[in-house]
Parts: sequence; structure tokens; C-alpha cells
Amino acid sequence: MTPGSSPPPSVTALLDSWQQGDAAALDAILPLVEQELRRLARSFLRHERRGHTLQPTALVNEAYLRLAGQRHQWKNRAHFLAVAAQLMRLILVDYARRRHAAKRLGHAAAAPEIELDAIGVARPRQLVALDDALVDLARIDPRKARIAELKCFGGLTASETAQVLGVSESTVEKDWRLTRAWLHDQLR
Amino acid sequence: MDAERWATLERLFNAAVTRPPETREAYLAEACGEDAELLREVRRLLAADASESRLSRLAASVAHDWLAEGPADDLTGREVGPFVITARLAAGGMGQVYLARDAALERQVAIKVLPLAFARDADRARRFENEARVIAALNHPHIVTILQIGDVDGRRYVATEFIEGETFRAIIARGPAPLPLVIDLCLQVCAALAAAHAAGIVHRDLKPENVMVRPDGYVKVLDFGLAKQRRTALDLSMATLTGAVMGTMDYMSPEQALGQEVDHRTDIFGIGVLAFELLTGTVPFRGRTDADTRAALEHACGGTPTGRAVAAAVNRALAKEPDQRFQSAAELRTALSEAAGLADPPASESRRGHRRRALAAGLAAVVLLGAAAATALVSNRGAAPAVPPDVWRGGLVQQVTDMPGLETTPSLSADGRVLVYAASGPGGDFDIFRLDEGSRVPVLLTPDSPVADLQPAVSPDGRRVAFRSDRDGGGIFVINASGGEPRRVSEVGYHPAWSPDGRSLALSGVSMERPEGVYLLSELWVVDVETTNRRAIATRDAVQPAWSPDGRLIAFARIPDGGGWQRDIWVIPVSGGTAVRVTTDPAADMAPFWGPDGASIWFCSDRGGAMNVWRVPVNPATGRPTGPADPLAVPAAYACPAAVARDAPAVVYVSATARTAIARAGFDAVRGALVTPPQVITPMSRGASSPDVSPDGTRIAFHNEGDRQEDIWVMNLDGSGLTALTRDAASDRMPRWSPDGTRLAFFSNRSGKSEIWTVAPDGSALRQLSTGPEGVNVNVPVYSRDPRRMSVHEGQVTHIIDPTLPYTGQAKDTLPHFSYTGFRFSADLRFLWGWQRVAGGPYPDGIVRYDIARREYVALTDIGTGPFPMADGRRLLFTHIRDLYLLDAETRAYRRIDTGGLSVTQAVLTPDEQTIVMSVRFDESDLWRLTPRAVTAP
Repeated sequence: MTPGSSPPPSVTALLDSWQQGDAAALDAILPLVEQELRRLARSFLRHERRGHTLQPTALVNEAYLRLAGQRHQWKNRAHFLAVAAQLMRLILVDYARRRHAAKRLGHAAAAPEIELDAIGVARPRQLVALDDALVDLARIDPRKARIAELKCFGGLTASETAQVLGVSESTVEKDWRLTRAWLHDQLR
Repeated sequence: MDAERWATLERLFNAAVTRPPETREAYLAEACGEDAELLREVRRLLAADASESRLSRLAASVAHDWLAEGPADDLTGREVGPFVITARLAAGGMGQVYLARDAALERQVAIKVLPLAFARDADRARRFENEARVIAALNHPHIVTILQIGDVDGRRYVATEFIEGETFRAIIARGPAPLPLVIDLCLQVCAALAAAHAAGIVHRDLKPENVMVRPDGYVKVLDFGLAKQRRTALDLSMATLTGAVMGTMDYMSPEQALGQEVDHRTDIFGIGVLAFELLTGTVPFRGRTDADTRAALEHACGGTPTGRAVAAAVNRALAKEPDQRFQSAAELRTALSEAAGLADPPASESRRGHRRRALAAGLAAVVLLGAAAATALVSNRGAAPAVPPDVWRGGLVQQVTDMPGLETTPSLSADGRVLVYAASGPGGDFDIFRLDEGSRVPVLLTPDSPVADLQPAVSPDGRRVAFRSDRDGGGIFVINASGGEPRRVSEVGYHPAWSPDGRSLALSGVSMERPEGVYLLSELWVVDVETTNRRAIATRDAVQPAWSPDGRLIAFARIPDGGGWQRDIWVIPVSGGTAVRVTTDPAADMAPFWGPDGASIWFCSDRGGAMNVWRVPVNPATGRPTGPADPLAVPAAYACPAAVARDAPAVVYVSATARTAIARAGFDAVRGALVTPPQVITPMSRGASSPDVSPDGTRIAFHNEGDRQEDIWVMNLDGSGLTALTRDAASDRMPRWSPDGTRLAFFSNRSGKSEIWTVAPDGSALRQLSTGPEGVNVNVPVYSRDPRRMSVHEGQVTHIIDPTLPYTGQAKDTLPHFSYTGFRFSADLRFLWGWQRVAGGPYPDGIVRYDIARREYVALTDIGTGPFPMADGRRLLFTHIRDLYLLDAETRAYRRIDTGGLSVTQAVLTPDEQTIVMSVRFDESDLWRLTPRAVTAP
């Protein structure tokens, strides 16, 4: 409504450009998605039981449907989820890094060590460590790093992951078993 | 790790995991050979593989945290001050409560960690601390003892004695409590409140959760000083957002629910509600007439002398008007103890049991009654002697939307299941959203639309949505409620309203969402949705049409001849004919819609002071009023517009708030940027604006808008030491410090028209400075560094005067005529900075510099008002549509300054330019749903 403000770019167009390799398009999408996610999150949280954990993918999916509308045809659901997973990783790791940094400044000595198995509430430090490990892994074994990303940030099934990566389902399962064990060990 | 090593690991791991566990060690020992490190690594992977990993939940849990905007982590195990937290007891809207151990004194304490929002509201936090100190000093046996206040992770915490026992809520949950017990409990609450009130502390938030009973029967009142001074719809939205129960409204006094100033008598009402709920098991008024509430209370108390006396006392505590209640907690206490002393036979258990069964049976009948009440109202009209219970007044209110920004113009389908509304979207423009009953996520119906989509109306069957859009040249569009391409049905019009058969739309020629909207003559049209044929049914001014349930009448709002603030509701037959006036009072009556019965018209009106929803009974055949209008008194500072479902008991209304406050932030004059986040330093319940910093940089003068008055206030730079310099019915605006800091000039209507006045910073020596010509207003006093030069506005012109000389008769330097507001002198007195106004235009036309010696104006920008020159003589701050800007007067380049999302309407700097003081504005509107309450059968 502000006079002179330029019309917001179409999210659909931005997502398309990003898929086609335009890295700058992502910068334009992220704030929109983030804003939308927050709005959605509020209405979710208002109705969820205490202690119920939100599925990030469900939110990204909703956000996408609202931002881009339902007219846009994605090749298939799995490809959209793959995009969603990548977005979610960027957003969450960024958030976790900020949180983690803020905490470090606050009370380094007081921060208790956290067991991975004790995850029940947010653990930003663990998420940052996961991201670091995935960056390391991507340098030597990109496919396994991608599988982990789709799994951890997008909740994709083995069959969806196989579809996105163009490999067999059994390969995904075999790769994920090793990657999962390795990540678990790294984050121990 | 390198790729080769990784490949080896993968090969060994994959080979090992496919073997039975007992053969793995042997295989690995052989495969790894001498490489002990490799063996260890594979072993670790195998161990990790066997353990239960929660990797996939890691992102989910961080996401949850992120989405919740960082709710507090569980502090269990942490040291907080001298305490060690041992367990979390509760978490809710007002923070988290922990059990902790005080190691030194070997005792248990309770620690309440307040939400972050609490710390952000400086006034509230300060008041809380003041009150906590007073309460701690009171050391009253029925008030929980405060041990310590401190900070943990940037949040405030309060440590109190740990009380073993149960809350009043737990007692109520077991059903109606016996009369003697209720008297005993309430006497103790009265004692606590009487002590607090005597010390000047009002609780403001009495509810069953805030009062505890120890096993020995001792009562302790908790949570003093945590309630806000005033509740707003926004606070309630925060409470909802953070998970607090939405029943809070039930415990508010009427004045509190209306957002008015409250005093200790709000607590008298609170005790009344506690007593009522203990006695009856349910809160008063909710969905019941006052008479029904009284009857339920008398029934619960029984017909004994004590029972009657208690019922009378509780009734009086629950009076709507504070003046009608007990005037002190001590008075109420006396009444209750006198009641207890009356001769009284012991209560019969069998009577109680019988009553409870009767209530349960009544409740089952109630649900039907709620839905059928409307029908009964019509069919029984004139026949039934008893007035049917009003199911709407005091009905359940629930917040529907809580997104930041504005959500407005709701519309409901006939069955109430589909709600559509307009909301300011991510791009800043308005879009249309649909929210289905039971759904959590609103659906955006107008994606990728860069223009405003407004005023949606859902068809009675819920399948289509008509709305106003500025797209493609503008007009009224119809879209499927499930989405798709909108189809234009009219090139003109606003405020579409569906006919009951869904075939036609009524439209008005212009838009009026708020009463202050100025508009020209507006026609009323009916357009056929299929053929898009349009015909006019009213040629005089008419906006906001609403179709009657039988399809024969259209209600609308109209400005009467002569205009002004007044708007009235009218009704016109769709077939044509004479319009009938429904309301005639001087208030702004607008946004009409038909009651679900068709025999009443509901509308928004500010006749009661604040804009709220009203109803007037009408003859369904003609629309003529058949009785006086009455307010629904929904809890909102500003409630408008609203919508009703035709066939279901549901009303949705908009609750809007707009508040202004003074905020300060650290400022980097070199970079021209804020270096600390803005902090609001005035009480948010006040409308504070127009700040001016004293020449010594220690105090801020500002304009404060109260309920019915506007005053000049001063405070210290940190918000402390608030003092009102004027405090009367006159409107006093725009304070400015004299260069020596000994006077404040402002303009005021206290002499009957606007003149310049001055006052000393302690409120003494109020004097009139200007004496403008008869009928001409003088305003905007602007001091300069030279005590003998001030600019003022007199009617349409700007003068530079000598404020030390008598106003009349002195030689004034009158600026060349120009549509201009002078606002600040430059430090070197060469320029007067201001902005030009464009008559009739929506926005000012930019920052202008007046050269005093050359007597000429230079326009520097095409946007902005309120220039504030910086010490370098080159740069200026200004604001434009709630954003803050920095202008370089030499290059004329300007840029926006990030204020962290705050809407800034004016900004000034302290003399050292290290602090920026801003007037900020908070706008919010959300949708609330009003559901009729079940009523107990008479």
C-alpha cells in the first residue's frame, strides 16, 4: 500500500530461477519464506499441544503453498521437498549459529554439555555441529551429504530421496546407514 | 579425513554391518590388520549404528525453537543467583515456574522466570520492581513472600517462598465448594488485598490460578505486580500466542476489559469472581444475563440468612460500575464476616448433591438453547412475557488471527464455517485469506498479487469470494473459495455484499473502512454476478451495504447532510423505494450487518466512547427500528468492522489498537545509524508523542494523549521521573524547550482557540504567550538558539517573532506565503527547516529549507516531515510514513535508517547526538470470534 514501493517479485519465478542456478534468487526467497514460516508457526503453535514438535517440512510445504499458490506445477513432490530441505537447513543453521554465538558470549562456562540422545528441546550447538560435519562430508562424498540433508532437514523417505538423486532406493538406504552412524559419531 | 580413508571405512562398515554381530570383531581384526586407528574408527561407527539416534529430530527441535521465537530453555540444573533449580513446575504465558533449592538456608523456593516481553517493556518492569519491593516490605501472611529479583539469560526472575498446597483452580475443579469454606478463603484473600491496597498496590490479575491454599488452610495470594497497567487486545493476543488460557476475560472487571484505567476496585470485582466461581463452579456473566447470574449465585448460596448475606455481598462485589461495589477490600471483608456470624443451620449434603445433578441436566439442554435462542427471539416476539436470555452479550471471545500487522474486513459463510478476510501480506500490500473452521492455517487466495486486494465477502454457500482489488484497473472480482483466477464482475465499487441467493452483489461507490475516511458521494449498486449487469438502487451517499437474510432489504452507512463525524445506518428496499433511517445519533455508526435473526441490525459505533459493536431491533419487513440500540461490549479498544453467520451462532469482529510511545536508542552520528535497539520508555498505555529534548540533554518533554485530554509531560532521559506539567481538559500539544531550558512552549486551546502558552519545567508559571487575531489559531511554537527568536504559525502564515515581547504590536517577520510548516531552526540561525503541505493531498510534499536572510524556500526532498537538523549543519533526520530517514542537505540524497521494524513518526537527538529519541506507533488489528454462551434454562 506504500506508494512507490515496487511490486514484490513472484516467489514462483524466484524458485524457478534458483533451481536454474541463479544463486541471487535464493537471497530474495529466504526472507519471504522466513516471514511466512513465522506467521504460520504462530498459528500452529497456538493450537499445538505443549511439547509437540513441529515438522519443519510440513511448515515449509505450507509456506510454499501459500507463497506460490497451488497453480505452480512442480515436477513432483519429492523435488519440492528437496528444495524445502535445503531452505530449511539454511534458515535453521543460520538461526542456530546466532543462538549459539549469543550463548557463548553470555556464559561459556555455565553451558552444560549436551548429550545427543538427550535432545528434547532445541540444541543449536548440535545443529551447528551437524552442519559443519555435512560441509566436511560434502567435500569427499557429496551424495551422502545430500542424503543426510534431505533426511535431516526435509524428512524425505528413502524412495523420495532416491527419486531426487536418481539412484536406487537400496543405495540410499545403504548410504544413509553409514552416514547416520558417522554423523552420530561426529556429534557424540 | 580424506576420500581414500572414507572409502575404506565405508567398505569395512558395510561389510561388517551385514554380518551377524558376533562375527564382526573377527572380521574387522583381520580386515584392519595393523591399522589400530582404523579398527577403532569402524568400531565407533558400528557402536553409533547400534545406538538409537535422534538425528532426524535435531532439526525439528531447533525449528520448533526458532518458530517459537526462542522460548526459554528449561533451566533445570542451573544455578540462578544463590539457588539451584531442581525441577520445572509449570510453563505458560506469564513465564516459567521452577522449584529450586536455597543451599545456604536449606529450604525450597519457587522461581518464576518472566517472559522476554516483560523485560522489553521498561515501564512494566520498573513498576513490577517497585511493587515487589513494597510487597516484600509488607511481609503479609496472606501474600507470598518475595525473596529475590534478578536476571537469568537476559530475563527477569522472581524467587519466592515455595508454597505446598493447591490453587483455587484445583478446588473449583472438584465442584462447588461449601459456603463456610468459601467464606473462610475469601476472608483471607480480602485481608491480603486490603493490606496491598493500603500500600498503594493493585493486583489487577486475581484469578483462581493466582491464589493458593496450604494444607493447613492458609491462603496465599501470588503474582502481585505482574499484570499490565491496562490490558489491550494486543496483550490478550500475546497471552494466547504464548499458550495462556483464553479464559482470562472472565476474570477481568468491566473497566479492565474495556481497556480503561483501573484502581483497587478492580480487585474487589476479582474477589467477587473468585467467590462466585468457588460457590457455583463457574464464572459469572459468561453467556448469562445479570439476572441469571444473580439467580445462580443465590441458588448456590442457599436460602439461609448466611447464604443470602453472602450472595448479596458477592453480588455487590460484582457490580459493573466500580462505584456500585464495595469501596475497599476491608468493607467486603466486614460484609463476609458479618454474614458468617449469622445464625445458620448446617448445610444439608443431600441438597447439594441434588443441585449438582440438576445443573448437569440443565447443561445438556443448554447447547440447543444457544442455537435456538435466535429463533425464539423472533417467534416469541410479543407473545412471551419473559425476555429470552441474551446469548451474545458476554459470550465467549476467542482470538482468530494473531499475525503481526493488520487483519480486517471479516466475512462469514451462512453456516459460519468459512471465514475470509483481508490482511497485510508479506509484500506490505493487502491480500485475501480464507480460514476454514477447524483449520489452523489461513489459505492465501490472492497469491502473487502486488496490489491491494481488500474487503472480501464470501458467498452464503462458502464457495465464492467477492473482493475489491486494484488489479487490472480496479474493480470487484469474484474468485473460487478454493483459489484460481479471479473474474471481474464490476469495474467500479467497494465493499461487495452477497445476496442471500448468491446471485447478486451489492456494492458501494467508495470505500470507508474507518470513520475518519473522507469520501465523496457514493452510489449503491446491485450487480448480477453472472451477467455483470449493474443497476443503481441509491444515488445518494451510501457505503458498506449489507443484504438482509430474506434478500429484500439492504442496510448501509451514510454521512448525513452537513457531514462532520456523524455516520448513520439506513435501510433501503432492494426493489427500490425510500430509504429508512435506522440510527440518528451524532456518533459514527457504520459497517452494518444483519443479525442472525433478521430482526436486528448490528453495526459499529463510537456512541459509547470507544468503537464497539451495537445492535438495534428492527422490523424485518421494513428495517424500521423497533427499540433502542444496545452495545455488545466486546472486549476491544476499537472493534470494527464485524460479520455474522446467517445460519450459525458466530460473529467475527476486528479488534484494532494503535498506540504511540516514546522510545530511545543509542545513535552513531558518524554512521547515521542506531547502535542499540530502540527501547520504549513511556508507559504503553499512554499516547505519547512529539518529544523534545532539553538543551542540557537530561530531560524529554512530550505530548501525552489521555482518555479525553491532551497534556504536556516531562521525564528524564531514561523514562524515570514522569511528571505532568498540564493536567486538565484542554488540549496541549507540541512542547518545545526554550534555549536556556527554563520554559516550555506549546500550543493549547485553553483560551477557547489555539494559542501559544509557556510553562516552567516543574509545571508552575503557566502563561499565555500569543494573542492571535480573532478566530485565527496560533500554533507550532519553535524556539531557536536565540531566546529572542521563535517561529509560530498564525492561521495560514508563518511568523518569526520575539517571544520576550508582547505578541500583539511587535514587528513580526512574516515569511513569504507558502504552504509550509516551519519546524526547527538550524544551529547557526540561517535556516528554518520544515516541510511543505499540499492541500488535499494524502502526503506532504517533502522537506523544505527556508533561508531567513534571502527569504526563499528550497525544496530538498519529495517525501518527509518533521526535519531535525544535526550538529554538522549538513545532515537531517526526518520521517516519512512511519520510517526514519537521514538526509544529506548538500547532496540531497537520503536513505532510510533501520529502526528494527518500529514505526517512527518523529525523531530528535540529544545535544551530544549519542541518543535518538523517537515517537513510535504500534498498529495492530486482529480478528476475534464471539460465540454465544450456553445459558442455564430458567
